[in-house]
Amino acid sequence: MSEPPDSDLKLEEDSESFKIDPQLALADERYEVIGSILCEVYEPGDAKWVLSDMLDRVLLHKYLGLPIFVVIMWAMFHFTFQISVVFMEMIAQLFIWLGTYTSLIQIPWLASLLTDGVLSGVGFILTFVPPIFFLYLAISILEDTGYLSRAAFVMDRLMMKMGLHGRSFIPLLLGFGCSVASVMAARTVDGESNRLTTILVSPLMSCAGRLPIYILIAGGFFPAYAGTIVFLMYMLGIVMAIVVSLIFKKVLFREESSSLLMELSQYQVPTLHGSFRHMWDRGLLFLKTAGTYLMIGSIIMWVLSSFGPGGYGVPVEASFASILGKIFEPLFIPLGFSWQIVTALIFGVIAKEAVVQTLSIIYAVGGTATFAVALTASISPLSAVALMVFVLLYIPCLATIGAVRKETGSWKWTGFSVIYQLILAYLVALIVIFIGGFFLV
Amino acid sequence: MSRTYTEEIGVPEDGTGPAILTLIAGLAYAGVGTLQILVAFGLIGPIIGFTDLIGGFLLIIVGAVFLTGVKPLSKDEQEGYAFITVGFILATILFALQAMVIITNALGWYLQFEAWLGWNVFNDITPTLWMFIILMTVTGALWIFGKLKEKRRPGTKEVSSE
Repeated sequence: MSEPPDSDLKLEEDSESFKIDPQLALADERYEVIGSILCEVYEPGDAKWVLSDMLDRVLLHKYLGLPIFVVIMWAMFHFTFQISVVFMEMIAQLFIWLGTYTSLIQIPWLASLLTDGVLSGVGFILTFVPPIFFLYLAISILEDTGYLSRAAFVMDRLMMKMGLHGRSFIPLLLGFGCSVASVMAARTVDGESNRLTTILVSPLMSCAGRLPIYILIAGGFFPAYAGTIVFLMYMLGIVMAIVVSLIFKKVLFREESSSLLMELSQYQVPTLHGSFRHMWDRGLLFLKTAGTYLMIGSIIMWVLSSFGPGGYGVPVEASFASILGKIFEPLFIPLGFSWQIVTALIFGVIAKEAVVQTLSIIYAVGGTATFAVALTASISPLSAVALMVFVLLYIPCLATIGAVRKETGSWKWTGFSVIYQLILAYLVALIVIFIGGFFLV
Repeated sequence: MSRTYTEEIGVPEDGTGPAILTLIAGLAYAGVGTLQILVAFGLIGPIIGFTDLIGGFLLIIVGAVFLTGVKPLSKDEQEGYAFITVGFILATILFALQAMVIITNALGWYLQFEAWLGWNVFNDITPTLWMFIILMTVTGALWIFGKLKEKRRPGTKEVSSE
């Protein structure tokens, strides 16, 4: 076996004695070697700029960079919502068609379990496969072109002005896909307090699991502006993450921010195969969740909404689901949430997709159009906006709580994360009701 | 700092024509965007396709990208072409998105889904769609005009490599 080079040993000693991040120490060492080679072989001359430099001149522009980022984000969410609506309807029609067969089963409880439980629950959540896959496709394309790393660079200026660490934005961007990935990616952030801040605010970024509830509410209550409202919810997630980080940095942690050092690769034309492959890999996770946890969840939810103290077949208002929702309903009266929504929010702690699934089973409907009708009859447009905000800001899922526990190594910070998100969600939803009262009835 | 691009990108040395095109495109996008915002706020009467407030802001951003390129181009600085390029990319993204919206809505209408029964293509013809078509037509016409002018210019001969 060969001996490790001296520089490696020195690097190891340095990182141990001064507690330097080994990755940063490696990068410093690498740049030192590159610098010494360049000094010997490179003569500054008439170097010309390539297409990638040309694009960066504008996309990383001091003033235009951020507005352009907003345009691209809007395009991404508009694409996710508007393009997928027709495909969602196709899947919904398929499950309605299947429901006409399962409802003919001669055993009443089995017919109800399959039609109102499995098809209304899992079947309904599967209608959201197109927007979730389209969202992942858009994220893959942005990643493959090289723009996503630029987005972190663009946001760094804003975050640095607020005393935050620019590198934190990379995990936050990953949060558009999944909060667990976002929390885990926070380990790349320098400094203990910066890392902890990133872990605590990562769940505020809107993950794909929240998308179904936005689509339902925005499509049902505000059909003409649905795409824009979905986009605004994602933007609100970013704004809240920045605001909360700022508060944490001022109140809890006082560590100085450091500069963002990133290697920006050249822009690439994404390949069809590569982008679709990434989309499939990430989307498969959603399908697996739907096939396992959500399937079990839909059966449990069917049991809770079909059984009550009076036995099987009681009206849903007398079911266990209703009893559960009504216990916490008084807390949510200021927000205008009915017991059905409260029950759905309780189940949403397991996974955000369960919110829509639970509502679907309680309302016992089979398609997005009828579901929207049931929902519009249940709450006001203002409460619907408050519900979207509440879903955006409260605990994403049990898996995220587990990831926070693992990454912080502390039950104290995990508990703090859960409690502050619940309080934040409630307060911001209440502010929406208060301010929105002047505009929406 | 003045920048020069590699020959593969092939930008013209004289920036006067592109500067004028960029100025017109920038003013048009910013103007239509402002109009869209005014319609969304109800300050002027409704116009078909001019309903989205955020859409208006997006058009203004595209206009701002074009307009930022005018100054360097008028000074024959090559970095001005970067703003034209990104302006075209953004305009293309917004156009492609709206075109896809029309295609998928047409699919829903063709399949006779309930929510699409009252769909009308004219409601989906937004400024991002027709502004891009006008932009591409004007750019194409100017490019052809420039090529013809170059060919007819007296004293320009093709140089053989031999």
